[in-house]
Amino acid sequence: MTSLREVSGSRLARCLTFLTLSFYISWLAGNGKLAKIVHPRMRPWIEAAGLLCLGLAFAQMLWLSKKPKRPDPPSFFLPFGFVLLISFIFVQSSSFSPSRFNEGDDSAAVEAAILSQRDKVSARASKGALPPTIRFDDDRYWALYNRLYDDPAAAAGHRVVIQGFFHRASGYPVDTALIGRDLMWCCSADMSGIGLVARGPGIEGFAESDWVEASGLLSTIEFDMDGDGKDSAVPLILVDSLRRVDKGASSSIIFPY
Amino acid sequence: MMLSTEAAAWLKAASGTFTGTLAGLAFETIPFLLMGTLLSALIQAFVPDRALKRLFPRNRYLSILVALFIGALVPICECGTVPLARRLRQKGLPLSTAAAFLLAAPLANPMTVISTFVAFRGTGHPMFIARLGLGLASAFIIAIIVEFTAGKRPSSDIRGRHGQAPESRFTRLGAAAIPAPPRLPAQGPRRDGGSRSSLADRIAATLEHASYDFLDSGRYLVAGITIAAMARALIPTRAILRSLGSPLAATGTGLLSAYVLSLCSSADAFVARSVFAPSSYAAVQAFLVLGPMIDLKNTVLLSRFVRPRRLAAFVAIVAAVVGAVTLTAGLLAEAL
Repeated sequence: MTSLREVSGSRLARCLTFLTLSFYISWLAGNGKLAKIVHPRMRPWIEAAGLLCLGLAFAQMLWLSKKPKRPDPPSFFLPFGFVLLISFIFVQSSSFSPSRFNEGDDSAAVEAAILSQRDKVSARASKGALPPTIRFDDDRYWALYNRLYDDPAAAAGHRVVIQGFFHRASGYPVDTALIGRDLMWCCSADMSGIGLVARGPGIEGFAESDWVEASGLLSTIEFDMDGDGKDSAVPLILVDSLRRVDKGASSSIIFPY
Repeated sequence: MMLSTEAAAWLKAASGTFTGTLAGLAFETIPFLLMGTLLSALIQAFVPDRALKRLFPRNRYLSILVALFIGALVPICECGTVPLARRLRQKGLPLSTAAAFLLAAPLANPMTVISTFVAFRGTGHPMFIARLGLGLASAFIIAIIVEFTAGKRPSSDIRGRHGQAPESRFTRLGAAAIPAPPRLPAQGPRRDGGSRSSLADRIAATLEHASYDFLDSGRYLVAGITIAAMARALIPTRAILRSLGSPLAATGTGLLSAYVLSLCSSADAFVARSVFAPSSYAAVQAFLVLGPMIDLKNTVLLSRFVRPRRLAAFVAIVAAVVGAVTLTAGLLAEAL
């Protein structure tokens, strides 16, 4: 049994660092918050890293009395605390990311960027007639989003029901907002907002990042999406119902693949 | 009042970008750094120097080619390859071989190739083939430059005790790329991985190496990630990306944005497709090839082991070679 005097501070710090990393990863994975930071396909890698940290913590625990020749500097441990703190702040927040990769612009530039990502999802989604009421379910969000932006006119007149974050950039007219969700390809570093432009009375009564459900008829507006002076048609919801709803099990993040 | 509202909105967006980017990059890279250090420690403890040397041909150029091939088989991103490349160097392989591995592994590994294929499918551009080909060609050229600048001394000649190369011997550019790891504390479990060690000793050495290397490298990785996240939050990336003009400017923009954004190589293809105009072939290729090889966060990670001037020279050479290769390919693609 190792007495307290024999315990190496460096070994103890290493042990606590690895234990904290391991438990934090378990906590993130356990309550689903990991999906806000990384794509679900990364989860096995991160959980494996958590297990590895647990193993390393156990090894350091066994060697608690074996002091290294030189003690580890605080810089070995503090950066990990910083990462955990920042990531904790991030996962606890519930705000929309419309302006990622879009510094200084309004959300139109993000829309333009996302528009150029169209791939075969659009082609697959374009098969079959659009239903009279288009519901943006979690698993069809990306496909429907592409289809509507591919051919906004074809969807005009259809009713749409969409849930997502409420967002209004500073340059928007008073009665205009964006209802959208975050799109993640790999991790929160590449996250950006995607959504539909909504216009209607009562929009000014909502706060940024409120989780809302909008319903209305689809129309189109001419908008300079690429920022190159050329207007193009984009879908527009003429909102007749907009209300705060319980997010429930709906995902605030869309994973395209 | 208007200004303060806008400033508050900007601050909120910038802090959101910072926290999101930092969290994302950290959880994307730290697991791979941990696995890289564990693999590195396993090689140290279980693979004798001679066995590793037998794997690579004596001919330096063939050895570089083998390193490129092995790099393509290792499913680890750029952060994990740094400790592995260091270990190859410590085990006595030539600098050029270790450099080839360092540059090629994140770019040619299966995850990167598949994600590039998925990102660009349906565009009519076989971008994953171009990325692989141009990337490996660039890595080969850079490794050759490292070979010439590092000289042709056998690696055993420039290694000191415990298989480590003294910092003072790193007088040439090539040596700056992959220095040996620092000497570990002498106490604790055995770390030499020598042939007389028992299995328990070797496992203990593996765990000790992995723990120390991870904590030691991790602080630099976190520093690099923090700087990259700050750059992402403060620099108008979109404005840079939109400033594409001539092929030369497009290539420069691609190189600069790849370096600053510091994206994981398994995700950068999607970003490249979204932010660059499809016609800007040179910019896309420069972005896709340079990013996995060297970026802001990796530069800070490498700064743990390389003196600033030599690291700057290494980064400049990597950028210059990648720029030249991708620009040439871009011009050829536009001409055809």
